[in-house]
Parts: sequence; C-alpha cells; structure tokens
Amino acid sequence: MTIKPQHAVLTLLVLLLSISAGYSQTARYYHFEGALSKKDNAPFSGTVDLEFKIYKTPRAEQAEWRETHRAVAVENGKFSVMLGSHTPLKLSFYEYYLDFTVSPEDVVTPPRRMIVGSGYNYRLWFLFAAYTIVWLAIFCYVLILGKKQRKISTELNALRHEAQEISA
Amino acid sequence: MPDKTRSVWAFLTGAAVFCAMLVNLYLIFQFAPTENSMGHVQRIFYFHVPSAWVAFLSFFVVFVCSVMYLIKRDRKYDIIASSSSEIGVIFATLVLITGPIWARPVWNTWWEWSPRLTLFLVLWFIYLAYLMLRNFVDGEERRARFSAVFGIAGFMNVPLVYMSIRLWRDIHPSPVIAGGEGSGLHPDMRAVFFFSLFTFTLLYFWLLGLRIKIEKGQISILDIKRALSLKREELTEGKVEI
Amino acid sequence: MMFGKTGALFWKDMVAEWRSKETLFSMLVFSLMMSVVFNFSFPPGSDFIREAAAGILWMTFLFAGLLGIGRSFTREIDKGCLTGIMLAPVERSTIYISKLLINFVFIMLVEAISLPLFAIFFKLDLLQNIFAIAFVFTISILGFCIIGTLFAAISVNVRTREIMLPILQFPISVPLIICGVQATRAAIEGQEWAVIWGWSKIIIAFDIIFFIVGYLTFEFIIEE
Repeated sequence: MTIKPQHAVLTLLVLLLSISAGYSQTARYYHFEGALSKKDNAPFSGTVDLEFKIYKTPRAEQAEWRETHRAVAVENGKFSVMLGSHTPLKLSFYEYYLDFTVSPEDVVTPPRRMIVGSGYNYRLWFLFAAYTIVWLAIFCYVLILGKKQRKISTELNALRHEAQEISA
Repeated sequence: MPDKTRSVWAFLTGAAVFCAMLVNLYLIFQFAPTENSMGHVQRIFYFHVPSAWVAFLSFFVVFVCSVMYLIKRDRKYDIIASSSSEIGVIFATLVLITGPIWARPVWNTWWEWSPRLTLFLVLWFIYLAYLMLRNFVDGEERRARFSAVFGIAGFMNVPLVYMSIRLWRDIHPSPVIAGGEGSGLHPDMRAVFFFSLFTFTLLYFWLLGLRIKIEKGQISILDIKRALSLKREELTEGKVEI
Repeated sequence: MMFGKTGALFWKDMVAEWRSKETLFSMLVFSLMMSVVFNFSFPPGSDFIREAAAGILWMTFLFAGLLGIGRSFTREIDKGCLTGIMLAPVERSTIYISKLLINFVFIMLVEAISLPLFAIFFKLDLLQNIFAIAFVFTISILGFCIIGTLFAAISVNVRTREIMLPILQFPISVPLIICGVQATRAAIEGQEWAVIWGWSKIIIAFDIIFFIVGYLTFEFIIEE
C-alpha cells in the first residue's frame, strides 16, 4: 500500500479533532494522593473518614463541591482516593483549591492546596507542543517515505520496460 | 513472500497502527486520570517513555542484525539494520525534544542531566555517528561490514554509559521527580501506559516495514541498472563483431 | 608464538617511529599547547582551575591521543604498508593487538612527560597520590586505545577520514570520560581507595568488554 497525501491529511484531521475533543471535556474524576501525620509528626496508619471540599479561591468560605470518603485506608501516612466517585466533579479550565478534614482530632491535615482542573493554561501549551511535534515528526517521516516509495516504483517500472525492450 | 501477501500484510499493519493510535489518543487524553502535582502536562509521559522504548528497541535490532550480518554475511541483515537505525534516531530525537518540553513546566529548567535524558543524548550521538558512517563509506559490502562493527560497539556501550551516568549523578543528585518515572502509578495510568507502549511498538514495526521496502527497492534499481548495462555491452559488442 | 608475531609487529612500528619521532613530538607539543590555552581561558590564579584540573588533563590527553591513534593507521596507508602486513601470515587480531600496544605506549609516554609539566602549570601536588593517579591513567588510556585502534582502522577507509575518528570515538568513550575524570579527580584530591575503585571498576569492565569486541571484529575491518 502506498501512502498518499490524502491519507496523511485525513489522519491529521482526525488527530486534531481528538485533541480538541479532549480539552473541551471537563474532568469528572480526580485521583488524589495525600499524606496525613499525627500532631507529633509521626506517620499515621489506620482507617479514617475524610471529607473533601473544593473551593474556587484560596480563602473562599463556600465550597463548590464536597464529598465524603468513608473508611479510607491510610498506610504510613499515605492514602489515595478517587474524587468524583460519589459526587460528580465538574472541574473545568481553572485552578481550584482542595482541602479535606479528618474525623480523628489528633491528626494534622495539610493546608488548602492548589489542584488542577483541566490544567493550568500555560502548562497545557507545553503538552500541546510536545504532542504536535511528535505527530508532525511521524507524519513528515511517513510522507517522505511515501514520496521515496513512489519515486522508486516509477523508476523500477521504467527500468523493467527498458529491460523488456532490450530482450525483444 | 509473494507481492500480493506482502501488500495485504502492509495494509493490515497500517490499519492496525491507525486504529491503535486512535484508541491510544482517547486513552491518553480522556481516560487517564490527571496527575496530582504536575497536572495535564504529565500526559507527555505517555508518549515520551514509549518513544524511548522504541528508540531502544530499534538500537537493539541494529545490534542483533549487525552480529547476524558479520556471521552470515546476508545482505538482508544490513538492510534491516540501516532502516532500524534511522527510525531509532528519529525516536531518540523525539525523546530529546519531549523531555525538555516536559521538564520546563515541571522542573523549571529546559535541560536536566537526569540519567535518562543524558543516556539518550549519548545514545543519540552514537547512532548519529552510525548514520554518518553509513553515509560516508563507499562500497556496499564495506559499508555493511563497518556499520556492523560500529553497531556492535555502540550497543555494548549502553549499559556502561548508564552505569557511569548513574554513578556520576550520585555525586550531584538531580531533583526528585514526583512520581514521574512510573513509580507508584495508578492502575489506570499503568494501563494507558502499557497500551501506549504497545501502540508505539506497532508503529515501529510498520515504519520499519515501509523503510525496508524502500531500501530493497533502491537495491533492485541498482541491480537492474547493472544488469541492463551489462546486457547493453553484450549487444553492442555483438553488433561490432558482426 | 602469537606473542612473537605481535612483538615483531610492535617492534617494527616502534623502530619506525623512533627514527622520525614525528608522532611522539606532535602529540607532546599539542598536549602542552592545549594546557597553556586552557590556562588562558580562566582568570589567572583562579581556584577553579585546580578544581577542574582533572577535566582539563583529560581533555588534553583525549585530543592528543586521538591525533596519535589516527596517525598510526594513516601512516600505514600513506606508505602502502597495510597491504604488506596483510599479506604476511599473521592473524588479523594480532595486528589489532600490536597497533593497540603501540598506541598505548605512545600515549603513556606523552602523558608521562606532560603530567609533571601540568602539575607545575596548575600547581597541583600529584606526587602524593601518584600511584592512584598512575593506575587510573593506565586503565583509562588502555580503554581509549582499545576503541581508538578499532575505530581508526574503520575511519582510515572513510572519505572524511580526519573527522570520522572523533565522531566515532567520543560517543563510545563516554563511560571512560565520565569515570576517568571522576576517578582522576578523586585520586588527585586524595580520596579513599574505595571511591577510586568504584569508578575504576567500570573502566576495567569497559576495557575488557571492548577488548573482546575489538579482538573479534577487527578482522572484518581489515578485509579486502
């Protein structure tokens, strides 16, 4: 099969569509890994109930979204939850601030931290740049190979023609 | 392999690559969860590391074909080696480009002498030297021999380079990449990563097939031209004799 | 018996060189010039030079060494000796070993002469740890010659002869350069043997692996 320019353009279009589709979406889940320690800085192990809240600004009083995760296993101070599994998240393009509260009182919770919804704007450009470069490189290579292949085929046909004429 | 079967295989592989890529893109941009500290930029990981894998695979193929060529002296090993090295250099270049693009927003610097990037820089130079050697040697058989020797030397060097770089880094430790090196990946992320690895491997084999076909075509052209000029000589001699 | 033939080839090169001494002198002058030029690159009397001494030493001997190794084959080709050697009933690998030894001896000679001068230029005290330094240099130069001889044989047959050797040599020398410079620095600074040995292990592994590769593949290069 020879690679024709039409194939390449079509595939490029599909790829571009897929990226834009990806970014118009809003994140529905958010994988969060956190750390807990006791007041005396010792790492904490056990099961806790955590209530997560997301705010629009670092000092907002009203939470945009909240979700409680019960019986989260904490091992050596670390735990991991999937936010959005009970209450759907709808984080779009901006930055958000997340904090959580724990039931046992003697456990220290870290201060509110910044999380990414659909990502920082400027960072997204890097992702886009990397992705585009990879795909452009592969495309150009395939196109160049296709062109070379066509040239070789034409030359081979011409030579075979010549060979037939000579044997005649 | 007869021509018909060959083109069917080529088409199937191409179609497989295309479909796998579409699925891969969906997985990378929609399915994979967002990483905690790096955000969406971390998704570069899903094609940065598979590119590195493909580069390694290509260079390994070059090594194996170099050894086989020196043992068997069959031209086909040289063809595979030359095609594979070209693809390997392309993917190594992509690793060296996507690496800094990932590093800049995350570590705030374009270049970091991290073990993987440094290793790839050296690897890139080795295989660039390989390509230059192939370009500058005249004589098909000689070219195959010399590149085979250098291909072997280049690949045998890789573990040594890696060890030296690791030891060197121990005296100047680099910033710890939070979960970037695949340490403790979420199972969903791991699944996407493996699929991406699979897709890129498929891509490698497809590109290899295309490139080998071109190489064989070029050799056929030379062979036919040679045969034709011999035939023409015979005919003209015949005419003169008469 | 193999040693006899290797010895004979080695001796032939040695005598040829001793008569003219062109390679030895050029390498010596080049390495000394380089160290002076490096000295000018930094502010006078700066401490940085002493810290970077190991690296500068290495840069100097790498470039000088490359010159010498390159010449060991071009000289043969220029004078048409290579065909003569190949016609002789000698195994190709023996040629490899003899060339390797000649390059090694030459570079060691040049280093032996330049090192004291460097110590003076850069105000280094090398005598204190002279054994460690000598050890590191020996294994590193050996490694450099092992791959250098192999690649010189390749590049002599290539159109862009002079530039091809460094292009082939430097990427493959990376482990040597990293470990060699660090080991030399450790030796100069008088660090404990365990540290120096850590680096040297890799250099020795490099030497062994590439000697085997060179020994096995040299005959494929000198084939006509």
